[in-house]
Amino acid sequence: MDFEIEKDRNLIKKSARELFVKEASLENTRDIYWESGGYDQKIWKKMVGLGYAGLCISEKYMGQEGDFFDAVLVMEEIGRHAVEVPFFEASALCADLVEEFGTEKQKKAVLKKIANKGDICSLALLEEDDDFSAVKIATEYERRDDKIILNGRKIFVPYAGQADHLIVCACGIAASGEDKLGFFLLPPGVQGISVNLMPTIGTKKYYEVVLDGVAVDKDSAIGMDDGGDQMLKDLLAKGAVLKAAEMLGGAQAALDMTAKYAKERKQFDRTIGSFQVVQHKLVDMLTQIDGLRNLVYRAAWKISQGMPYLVDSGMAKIKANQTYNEVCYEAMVLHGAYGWTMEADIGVYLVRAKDLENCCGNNAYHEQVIAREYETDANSIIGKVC
Amino acid sequence: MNFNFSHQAEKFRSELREFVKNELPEDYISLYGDDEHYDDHWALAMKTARKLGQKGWLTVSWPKEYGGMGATFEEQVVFNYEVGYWGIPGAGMGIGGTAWVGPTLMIYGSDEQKKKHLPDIASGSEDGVWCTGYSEPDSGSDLASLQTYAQRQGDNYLLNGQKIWTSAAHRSRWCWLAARTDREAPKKHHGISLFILDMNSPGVEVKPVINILGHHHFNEIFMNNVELGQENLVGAEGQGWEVIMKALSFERSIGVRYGAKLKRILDELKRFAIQHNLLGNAHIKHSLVTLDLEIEALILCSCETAWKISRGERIIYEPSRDKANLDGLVKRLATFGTEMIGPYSQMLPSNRKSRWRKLKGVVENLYWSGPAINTAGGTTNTMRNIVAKYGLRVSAE
Repeated sequence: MDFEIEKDRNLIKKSARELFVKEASLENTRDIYWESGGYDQKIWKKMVGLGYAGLCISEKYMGQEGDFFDAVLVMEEIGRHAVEVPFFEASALCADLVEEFGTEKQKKAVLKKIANKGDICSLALLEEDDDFSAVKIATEYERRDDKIILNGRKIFVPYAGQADHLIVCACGIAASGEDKLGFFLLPPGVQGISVNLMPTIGTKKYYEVVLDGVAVDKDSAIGMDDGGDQMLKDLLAKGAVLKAAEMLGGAQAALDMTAKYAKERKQFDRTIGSFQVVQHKLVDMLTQIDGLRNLVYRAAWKISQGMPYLVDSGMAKIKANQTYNEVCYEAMVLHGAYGWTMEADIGVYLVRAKDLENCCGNNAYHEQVIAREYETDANSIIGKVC
Repeated sequence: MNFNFSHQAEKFRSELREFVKNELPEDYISLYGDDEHYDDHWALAMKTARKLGQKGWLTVSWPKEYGGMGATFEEQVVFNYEVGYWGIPGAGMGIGGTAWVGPTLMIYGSDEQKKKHLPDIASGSEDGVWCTGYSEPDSGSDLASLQTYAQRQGDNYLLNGQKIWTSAAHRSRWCWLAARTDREAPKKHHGISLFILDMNSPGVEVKPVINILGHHHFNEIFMNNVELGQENLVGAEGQGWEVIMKALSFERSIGVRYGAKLKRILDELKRFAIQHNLLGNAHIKHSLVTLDLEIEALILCSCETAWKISRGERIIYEPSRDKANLDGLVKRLATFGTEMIGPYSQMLPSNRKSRWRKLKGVVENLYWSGPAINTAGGTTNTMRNIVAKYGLRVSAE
């Protein structure tokens, strides 16, 4: 058992942090909120140049051959500095999907371009629903001759207005005759798609994507014909850990700025940090963050080691959802009225909370995942060590 | 980075589980305070301590030169986890014998003291059972304000005063005692010395303090003109606060043990829920999952603290952070447990044979004991003050 991050891994983390300290500013992040550009293009260009865009892509496609844990550490830094870049969508989530399940043709079409040019690849997943304790897909795929026709409506698709590549998750009849999920890589400029910006409070540009008779070649399918359901489960579990890492970094930043404020702000001739209630709130925030860190790192480690990770991923995400909301909310409270202004920094972190919380599974979703594992392990509960 | 335990540590875990299977009653679970109150529990604790001592397992964390296992930090973590999880009685040798009296004596004790006391603790002897005399009626959280006075008389001391909340004093051979030796010291901390008190000394009187469960766990110790010599003093006169701080740091490094105890209770609740088809109940599912991940997070943080200590890192706030966290989780877990078992939560703890008792009474025991756990070893709020001051550094004005 060892809690130290390996030297070269830590270098990736450190370098990312140095880049963001130098180039990122919450001022920029706030500007992106108002602009339609969509993301911090200057920083993303730098990240591409430094190899971060291809961090987890194999060398064959000009990547750095990093592993999942490396991506997790970069996500932590992205969260800490509230940077808005398509690293999660392109470099982590989609790159992983294409690398593991894609055909050679698909890999060539996508991976090299992400690594070299910083192409944006985004996954269209969520659909309208009243209950997000499960991900329900109604967008359909249909085989017609040697084409696949897609029909449906996706929401909260990140960067759809800027993306170079879109991957769509749809359900249809697999070759086995069963209802199965499939993932499809859409070629750039394909007909039948319309995107509409959804007005969200965070900085990430989310879109509604309508697919109206979108026709793609049958070799657009990613992965095996009947593997879609498992692919989705694993993708969400891994994505959850990446998001939990981003929330870990962000929560730590929120705590740091609040502790600093508490040491500086004076009322009643003393710092507000000298009051016990303020201290105890900050301590509870620290305690939650320290606990979150260990859950995130353990989940990340298990994924990198090829060990079962569903429960650990769920725990990390639920803890992150609770911690990020609690910490950012209370941090704003401790900043007084000033905290509530557009000018103050803490708001940048709080307004991301509902995006982060619902990305890759909210609490209800992951509770289901974990509870399912409880039932599977019923006979070996007493004495089981995580 | 590695979240697995070494092969050696896992082997040790298997040996400990074999021990539990062979030496303890089936499905044995430990309830707070039972060992000190019930004679049969105490007898099992002492019997188990002897058996642990024979295997060298009472002194897992002690260096080899003092008869310890010289265990790696991983083996220590595994040991503390298994002791906490299965509730292996007697591992403490009273309150603190193995955890902090022994280890602190190794640093501050004289050769005679080490020779006299360490083997008894290590072997599970009745002469190796200790209680810890810190708190007084007027000195709880503000321990440094203690008034028990060891008046210097030549080379000896005359001890007068009173301790309270002394767990297991009625079962202990020795008391690890904090007393004032200098009433004039400008800083109250500097007037304190640490003594080994022989509980059989003339002038020592132990009076039970019965708790809300009707159990005898706490005591008052009255000291009336008790004679102490240099051989009773641990470290230098006036060095007591430093010795206490060291002992407290040992006390706070076995956090994994308490997290594991909560994990066991949670697992019992999980099993109960599955057996009674309750996982479909959204509130129960939500509560089990939430408590599970919180306890896992606590255990990982405690492991990390132990890991830092093993690397020689100077840690100050982490054990306090973990203790405060634990206290909150005790309350949450116990509250949920009582929701699960409903009206059975009100069964009288001292009626151990009642057919109405659920899960061997562990749920209501945790709930009623919660406030005491909150206070023991430093209150939750004191812990938070320490983290604020030394971890966040916000309390300096």
